[in-house]
Amino acid sequence: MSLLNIALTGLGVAQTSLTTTSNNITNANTEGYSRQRTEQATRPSEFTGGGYIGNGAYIVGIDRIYNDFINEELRLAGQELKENEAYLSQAEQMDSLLASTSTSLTSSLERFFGSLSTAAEDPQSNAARQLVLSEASSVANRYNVLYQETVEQNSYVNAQIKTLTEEINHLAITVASLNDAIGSAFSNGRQPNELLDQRELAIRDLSELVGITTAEQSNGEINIFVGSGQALVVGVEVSEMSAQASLDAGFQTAIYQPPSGTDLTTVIGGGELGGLLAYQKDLVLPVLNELGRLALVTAQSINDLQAQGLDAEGNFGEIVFGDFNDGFNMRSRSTPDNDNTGNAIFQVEITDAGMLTGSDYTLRVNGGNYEVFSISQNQAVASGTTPIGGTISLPDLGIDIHVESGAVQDGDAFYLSPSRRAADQIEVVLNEPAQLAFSAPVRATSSLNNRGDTNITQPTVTSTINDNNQSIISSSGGFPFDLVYDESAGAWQVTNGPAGFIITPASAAFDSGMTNSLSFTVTDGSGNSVDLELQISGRPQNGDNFTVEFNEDGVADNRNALKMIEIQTADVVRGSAGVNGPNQSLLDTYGQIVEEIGVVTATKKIDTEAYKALYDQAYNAREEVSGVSLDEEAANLIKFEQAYNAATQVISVARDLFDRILQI
Amino acid sequence: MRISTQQAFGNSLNSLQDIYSDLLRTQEQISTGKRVINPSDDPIAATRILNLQQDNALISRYRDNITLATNNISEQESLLDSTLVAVQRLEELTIQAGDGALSNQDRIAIAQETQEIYEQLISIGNSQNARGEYLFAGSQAEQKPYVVQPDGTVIYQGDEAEREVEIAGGSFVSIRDSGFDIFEDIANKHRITTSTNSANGYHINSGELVDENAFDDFYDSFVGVPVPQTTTLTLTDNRDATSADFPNVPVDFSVSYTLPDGTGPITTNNVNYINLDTAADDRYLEVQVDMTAEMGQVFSLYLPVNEDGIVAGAGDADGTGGGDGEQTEFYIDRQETQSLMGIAYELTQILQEPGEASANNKNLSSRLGAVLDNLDNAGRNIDSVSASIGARLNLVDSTDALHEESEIFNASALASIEDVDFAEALSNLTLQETILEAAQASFVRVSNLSLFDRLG
Repeated sequence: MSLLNIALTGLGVAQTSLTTTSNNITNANTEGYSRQRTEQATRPSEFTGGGYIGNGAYIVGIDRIYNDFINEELRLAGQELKENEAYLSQAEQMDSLLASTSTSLTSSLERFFGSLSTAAEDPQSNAARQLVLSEASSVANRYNVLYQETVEQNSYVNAQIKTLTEEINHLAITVASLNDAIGSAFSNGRQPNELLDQRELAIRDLSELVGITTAEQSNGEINIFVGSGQALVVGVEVSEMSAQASLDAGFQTAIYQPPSGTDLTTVIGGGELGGLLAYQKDLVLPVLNELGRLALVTAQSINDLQAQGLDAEGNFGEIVFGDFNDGFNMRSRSTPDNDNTGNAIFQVEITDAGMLTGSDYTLRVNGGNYEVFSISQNQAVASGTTPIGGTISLPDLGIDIHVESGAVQDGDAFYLSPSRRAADQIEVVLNEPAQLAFSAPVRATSSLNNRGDTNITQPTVTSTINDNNQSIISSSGGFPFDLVYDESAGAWQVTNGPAGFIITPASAAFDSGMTNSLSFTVTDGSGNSVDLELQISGRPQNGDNFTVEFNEDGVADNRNALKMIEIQTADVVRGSAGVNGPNQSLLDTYGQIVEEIGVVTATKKIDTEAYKALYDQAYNAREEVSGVSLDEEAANLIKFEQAYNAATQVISVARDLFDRILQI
Repeated sequence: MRISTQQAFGNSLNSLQDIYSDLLRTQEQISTGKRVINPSDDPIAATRILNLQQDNALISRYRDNITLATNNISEQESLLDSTLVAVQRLEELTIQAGDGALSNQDRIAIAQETQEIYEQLISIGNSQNARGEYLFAGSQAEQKPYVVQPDGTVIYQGDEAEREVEIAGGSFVSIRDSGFDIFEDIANKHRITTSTNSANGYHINSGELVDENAFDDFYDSFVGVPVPQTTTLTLTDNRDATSADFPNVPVDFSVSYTLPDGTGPITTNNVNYINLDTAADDRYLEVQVDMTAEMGQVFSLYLPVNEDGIVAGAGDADGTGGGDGEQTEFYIDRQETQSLMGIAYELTQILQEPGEASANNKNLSSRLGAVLDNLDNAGRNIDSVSASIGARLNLVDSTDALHEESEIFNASALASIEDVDFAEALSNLTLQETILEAAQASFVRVSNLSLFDRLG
C-alpha cells in the first residue's frame, strides 16, 4: 500500500476521533449522555518478501462508555431517594401542622379545661360560662381545622398520584417505543448509542416515579415490572396503570391496571408514587382516625357529664357537642363497594368512644356468611350468617353496626371507618351559657337535731342519667328521703321516702367510727332506677338524721364542673387495641400522635439523607465512567488534531517523494 | 480518578447548598431561640417538651386556683373575725344583763345593743362577694340564706355544700364553708328549748341536763316522731277555789306529762316545792319537777307569789279535785343545736321581758346562763372553723410553694431541652459562614480552570 493511502486512513481516523470528541464536548451537559470513544485498529498488513508492511488504521466502532452495574445502582438509589423525598415533604407539613402552637390541639384543649376551672370557681358567673362555650367552640374548630388541613393536603396528594400515574404511563410508552427502535438497531448488529442513553434515562426517570424491576432481553429490549412483578412494559407492549378513588370514599387513591383489573395499590413501592401511597397509608388515614377518635371522646365525655348534672336553671344539662350518632353521621361511617349487587346501607353507631381503636373495618359477605375484618389488627372481629338481622354489636370495639335499609347480596363489601370524619363533624350546639350543667343533681343535708359527730359527703349519682330515669331525680320524684341512724341495728334506715318509689337497701349497715361508703338505689314504678353513693364518717347517735334531696336552686354548686375538669387528666382514650379499655388521657394521646409523626418524619429525614449520599455516590460513579470531562476532551482535541496534522505531513512527504521522482 | 465536568460543577454546587442550608438552620435556631422547631427535629425531646408544657399549663391553672382560693378563704376569715367579735360582745352583754339589780330600762338598753348585734350577725350571714354571691348559702348562693320572718326570727335557707377548687392533681380544697357549719351547727348545751302557755306569769327554766344517757335513751324511743318531739308538762293547780279562804289556801300542785308520741298524761310524783317557807319573801314559788329518771332533765317552774305569800292562779274552780284544777302547759322541745342568730334573738327576747318581777327575774337569770353556755359553744365552733381555714391557707401556701418549685424546675428542664445554646449556635454560625465563603471562593477559582482557556 502506498504511503499516501496510509496517510489517508490516518486522516480518516483522526477526523472521526475529532468528530466524536466534538460530539462529547457539545453533549457535555446533555442529561443521560454517556461519553463515546472511537475505537481504532491497524489495518491488516501486507506481506512482502521483507515481511509484513503496515497498512494504516481504521475505525472499529464508536463505543459508548458505560457500566451496567453502576447504572443500575444509580437507578435504584434514585428510586429510593425519590420515595423518601416524596414521603418526607408531605410528612414535614403534617409534622408542623400538628405541633405548631397556632394549630395544635393541645393549647386549645388546655384553654378549654382552664376555662372550666375558672367557671368552677365561680359557677354562677355568666361570663365564665360563656367563656367555656367559646373555648369549647374553639376546641371543635381546632379539630375541624386539623381535619380540613389534613384532608386538603391529602387531596393534593391524591391529585399528585393521578398525575404521577399519567407520567408513568407516558414514560412506559417512551421506553416501549425506544425498545422498538433499539430492537431494530440491534438486528443491524450495531449499538444505537444515543437510543440506549435515552432509554436508560427514561427508565431512570420512570424509577424515580415508581419502583420497578427491569429485565434485559437478548434482542436489546428491556421489560419493566412494577409492584410484585406486574408487567408495565413487555417489549413494545405497555400495560397502562390507572388511578381511581379508593373504596373508603376517596380518602386514598387506588392504582389499577384496567385490562386485568389488578389492584396494585398495596404492592407498589418505591419512587414518588410509592412514597405518596405509603404516606397516605402510614400517616394520613391513621391521623384522621386518631383525630376523629379524640373528637368523639371529647364530645362523649363532656356530653355525658352534662347529662349527669343540673344547669343554672335546675334542669338536666343538654349536650354541648353535636350528637355524633345522628343518622347522617352514622351513615357517613360506612361506604358500600361500587361493585355491590345488593342495596344494603349500613350505619355505624359509636356506643363508647373510649373503646374505639382507630381501626377501619371491612364488612364482606361471602357464601351466606358475613365477616367484619379489622384492618389495623389484620383479623376478623365478628362473623355470622346472612341475612344480617338488625345489629352487629361490637361492644369491645365501641361500635354497633346497623342495617339501615336494603339487603346484602353475596360478594358485597362495605368499608367502615367509625372515626374517620368525626374531627370534621364535631361542633358545639349549646348556645345558652346557663345550660352548662355545673351542679350535681342530689345533695344531703343534716338535721339540726343530730347528736353524733358525723360527717356526710355530698351524694354522687353513679348511674347514667337518661330520659328514663331522669324524672326520678326531682322533688316530685324519688326525692327527698331521710336516712335515720338506728344504733341498735348499727345501720342507717331509709325513711320518709316518697310514695311510689322503692329505695334499696332499706337499711344500710354502718361501721361506726370509720368512713363508710353507702350506696342506695331509687327505683320508680316502671322499674327505672338511679344509683347514689355517699360517704358517712364518724360516730352517729341513735336517731341522727340526714335528708337526701334534689339539689333545688343549687346554682353555686360546682361538683359536676369539677368532674368535667377531671377529664383533662382522666384516662378516657384507649391506648391501643391491645388494652381492654381507656388507659390514657386526651392530651397524652394527642402528644403520642405528634410524637409518632415526629419520629416518622425524623426517620424519613435520615433515610433521605442516607439515600441522597448513596445517590450522589452512584451519580459520581456513573460520571466517573460515563461523564464528559472537558479537559480530557480538550486534550483529545489536541491529540487528534496533531494526529491529523501528522497525517497531512505524511501526505506532504509522499507528494515530495513523488515530485523528486518526477524531477529526476 | 476521572472527574467529569458535570460532576465537578454538580458536586461543588451541592456542597455549597448543603453548607448554605446548615447556615440557614443555625440562623433559624438563633432567631427563634429554639433548638427544636418541629417535632421531627428531635422527636424524643419534642415529646418531653410537650409533657413539660402540659405540666406547666396545669401548674399555672392550679396556681390561679390557689390565688382565688386564698382570696376567698381570706375574705371568709375576716368575716369570721367580725363574727367572733360579735359573739364576745354578746357574752359580755349577757354577763352584764345577769346582774339582778338591773332595771327594766337597763335591760332594754342592753337589749337594743344585742338587737343590733343580732342584725349585724344576719348581715354577716348574708354577706355577698363582689360577684353578688351569698357566701354562706352553700350551693344556693343566689338566694339570701338568712331570711327574717314576720316574728323577727331568721331561718337558714342555704345548704351544706362547700365549694372546692383543685389546687393540685386530684387535690381539692374547700374555699367556702356553708352557713350551716359556721352559724347553725352549734351544740345546744341543754339540748332542749322550753316554753309555756301560762296566763298567770308562770315560767319554766331551760332545764338542767343531769343525765345525758337517760336523755338519749328517752329520745331513742321516739326516733320516728318528727321534730321538735315535744314533751308537754302539765301543771295542775289543785287549790280548792270553792273554799271561802281561797286563794289563801295551802299550795297544791300536781304535774303530769305527755310523751312526744302523744302517750299520756302520766303523773309524776317527783315534784318538790323548793322555797315554800320563804316564798312570800322571794315573791316566787319554785316548783322543781325532777324528770331525771324519765329524760335526764330537772325543770324548775317559777310561779309568781304576791306580798301576802299567795301564789297566782285560779285553782280548782269546782273544788272536786283530782286534777280538774286550772292547768298550765309547759312545752319541752328537743333541740340539739341552736344557731348563733337564734341565740342572739333569744337573748334579745329575754332582755326585753320585764325582769323586775321576782319569778321572772329568777327564770331569766337561769335562761341567761343557758344563753351564755350556748354563746360559748358558738365561739368554740367559730374557732374550729377558723382553725380549719388556717389549716387550709397553710395547705394552699405550701402547695403553691411546691408548684413554684415545679415551675422553676420545668422551666429549666424546658430550657435545657428546647432552648438553643446561643454561644454554641453563634460560633456554629461563624464557622459555617467561614466555610461557605471559602467554598464559594474556591468554587470560582476551580471552575476557572479549563484546558480550553489555554488553547489558542
